[in-house]
Amino acid sequence: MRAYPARWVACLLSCLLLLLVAGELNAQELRAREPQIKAAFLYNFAKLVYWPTNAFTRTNAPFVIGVLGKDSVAGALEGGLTGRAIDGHPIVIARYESAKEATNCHVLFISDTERRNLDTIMPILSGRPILTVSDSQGFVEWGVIELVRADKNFNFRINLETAQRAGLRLSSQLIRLDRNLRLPAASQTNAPPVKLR
Amino acid sequence: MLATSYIRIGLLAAFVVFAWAETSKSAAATGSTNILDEPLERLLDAEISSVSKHPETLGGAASAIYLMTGEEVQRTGSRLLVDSLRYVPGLDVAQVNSHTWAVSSRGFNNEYATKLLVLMDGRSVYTPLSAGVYWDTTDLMLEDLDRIEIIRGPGGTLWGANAVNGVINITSKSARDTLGSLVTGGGGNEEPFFTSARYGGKIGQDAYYRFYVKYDEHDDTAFSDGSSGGDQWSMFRTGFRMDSGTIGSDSFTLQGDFFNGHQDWSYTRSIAAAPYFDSLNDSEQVLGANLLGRWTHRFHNESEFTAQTYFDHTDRESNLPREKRDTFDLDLQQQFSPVGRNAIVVGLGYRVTTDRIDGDFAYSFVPRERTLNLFSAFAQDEIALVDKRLRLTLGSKLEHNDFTGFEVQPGVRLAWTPSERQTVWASIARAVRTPSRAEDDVRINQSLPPPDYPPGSTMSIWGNRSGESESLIAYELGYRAALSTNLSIDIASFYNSYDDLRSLESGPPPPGSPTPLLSLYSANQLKGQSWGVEVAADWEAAPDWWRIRAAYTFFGLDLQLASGGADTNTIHLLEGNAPRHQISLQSQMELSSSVQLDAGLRFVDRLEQSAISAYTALDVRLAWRVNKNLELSIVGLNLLDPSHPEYASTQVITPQREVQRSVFAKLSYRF
Repeated sequence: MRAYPARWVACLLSCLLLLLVAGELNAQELRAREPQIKAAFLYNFAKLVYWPTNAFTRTNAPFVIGVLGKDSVAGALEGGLTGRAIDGHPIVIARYESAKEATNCHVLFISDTERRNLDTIMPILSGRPILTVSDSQGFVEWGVIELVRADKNFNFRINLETAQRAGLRLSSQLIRLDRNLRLPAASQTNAPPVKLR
Repeated sequence: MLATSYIRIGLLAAFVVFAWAETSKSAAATGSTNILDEPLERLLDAEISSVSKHPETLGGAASAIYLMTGEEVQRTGSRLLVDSLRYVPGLDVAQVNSHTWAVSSRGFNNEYATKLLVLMDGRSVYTPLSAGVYWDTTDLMLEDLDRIEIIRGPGGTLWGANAVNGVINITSKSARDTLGSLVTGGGGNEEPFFTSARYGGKIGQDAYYRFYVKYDEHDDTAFSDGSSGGDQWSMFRTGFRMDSGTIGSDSFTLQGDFFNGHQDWSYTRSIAAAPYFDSLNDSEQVLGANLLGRWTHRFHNESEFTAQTYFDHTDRESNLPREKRDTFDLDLQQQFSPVGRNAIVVGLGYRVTTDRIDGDFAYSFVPRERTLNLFSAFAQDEIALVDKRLRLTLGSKLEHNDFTGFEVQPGVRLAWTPSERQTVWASIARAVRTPSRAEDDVRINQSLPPPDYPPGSTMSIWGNRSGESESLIAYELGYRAALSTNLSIDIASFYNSYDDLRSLESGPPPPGSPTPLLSLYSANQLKGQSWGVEVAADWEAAPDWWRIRAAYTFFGLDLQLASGGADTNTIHLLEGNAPRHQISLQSQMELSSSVQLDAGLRFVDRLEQSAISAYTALDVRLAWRVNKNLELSIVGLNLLDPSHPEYASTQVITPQREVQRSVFAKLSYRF
């Protein structure tokens, strides 16, 4: 073996690094399995979006969160949200096999398994007050919110134009968390965000 | 040397205990909260702890394709990309020495395995010198690896020559997905020291970049008597990647790497005069650089145009002569769907490579410098005969190379998807392996020493410019099914018929050479058939925390002499150097939200010809996410025996080296 003094320097550096890390350990961290995180996103979105009144037949009508296609988020939703309500509407979870069944839900998660069928699914849902969400890559071009999987966490991207067409109003709290949202120049003078993408 | 390793591991262990004590404090403070009640801001930082998953889109593919995500690769515990391929069904990976591997699919494996095409982010890493792949430099920061796509069987239709028995397509992550800093480091008995650092950031509205450095040291292998193989090596790598643009319009990628390594090597070389052999202990330099740019334009109607160009420089000293090479490549590709049922891809490519090979008595090239041009064009149409149920793919590649002129590689594939849960596919394709520079121009001299031979006797092997491409007609049949929501299975079978396989035939030496006792030249006087079955199963044994994968590969090969051929030696070598059975079993467990336990067991059948016994190896990895920044892992590889040989070099004078049991610790810190 040759002598590698650099190795010992690096070893020392790693030790220093570890000390730094140990000091940081008090920071709380959030960690969960993917379906649980996706379910939590859907629940939060539901709380931060306003549906037109005609989306509910009566004041205590159920709030339907649907899952189209096969996705483990369905189980997480059923396990976590049963018994909860949004604005007085009890949450009901529904699993769908085709877009036609899904026309009466409020939030619809579209599985990545449906990626190839988006061109037939989206026209069926278009114009209805449905918050469409998917983690399928490029979904923001089709629906309202795309969950974007980053290195170790999720970000999301919003398509305000489809939201508007669906008659959904998104709270500013939700909009400002889209780190990639491009507002037109007019928005900088406090004009409401209008046409995007 | 061992002592320092233990000190290092001891230090690490001390810190693990220390860190553990610290976290248990903070864990107590955290308590259990329901993630559903977290505000959206916090969710954006929530870390995903998932069992790695196969992309679902594979279901309908009409070829023997297998995907390994970057996470799966890391979970094999491999330090180098090549070692993770051991768990890919149908691949045969054998380590020859500390810095050389033999990797192939469906037979014909050796350290210059010629029938496998390997691409890194679209850049071909096979060398026209031997038509093989340098696996020691085919590496990257594994944390930046997005996926490895492995296609067994001919990929000639789309990928071009040399994709005879398979294509390995290595893709790194977009710079978009590697934001922030990452520092890793560690060491062990066979991996004395390794470290890497990466920083990723954002410039402007939609442009991202990353920059990395990586340094690795690898210890010697051992000879069968336990003595050192004298082949330790180190490698320094650095590089960058920039991605800009948005999905849906134009996107650009610019990336580059530089590497410089030193490899110890002891071997015996033929020399012209007495004592005719020369034992060498060398430290050889391996240096390379590449730069690649890619532009993708997506049109409104979903069609897509891609232009890619790269430049690659290699300067390798090795036990072959020193190779200096510059390659320039340009590829254009257009995808479109003119009528609803068709998905068409067409492409054009040009590659030029210039080399200079410095030889000695034992190995030399005539001429010493050569420039090779390659023009290629391809077209493929995927037709939905019955919507979502029956797809027919027709295509062909046409290329012109400086060795054999025009080569045509057509293929036809049919995929029947009776329900969304299953796919049956079949294919017939032709593929060729064009000659290598060595098969054209090499001059190998080997001294035949006294007393068995008269003084000054040599055997010579020489390249031959009238050689043909090796060709293959492959018949494949496969089945893929999701048997239940958590169990899927993939079966591929094939029958391959080869013609014009390379052989060494005796003939007079080329004019101007000294007259050898025995003179062999590279010819195409072999043909043969191979057949096999590859089965892979993927089972989510317990939802969300335990995944098991299993793979079984069966392979058979029968070669014959073509009329006029006499090279039974190569027949025995090829037939006897492919494991008949290979089995692997992998388990990936999330013991808790912060502890992963992964294990892999693999069996590789004996290699009759080179007297390598069958072996079983066990790899284990235990990883602990201390918090969202810090991960500690301990990995043990080849745990079942102190050492075992995996491959005997086809170079006669190199003694067989053995792969040793390896244990190392690693920490990675993100911030």
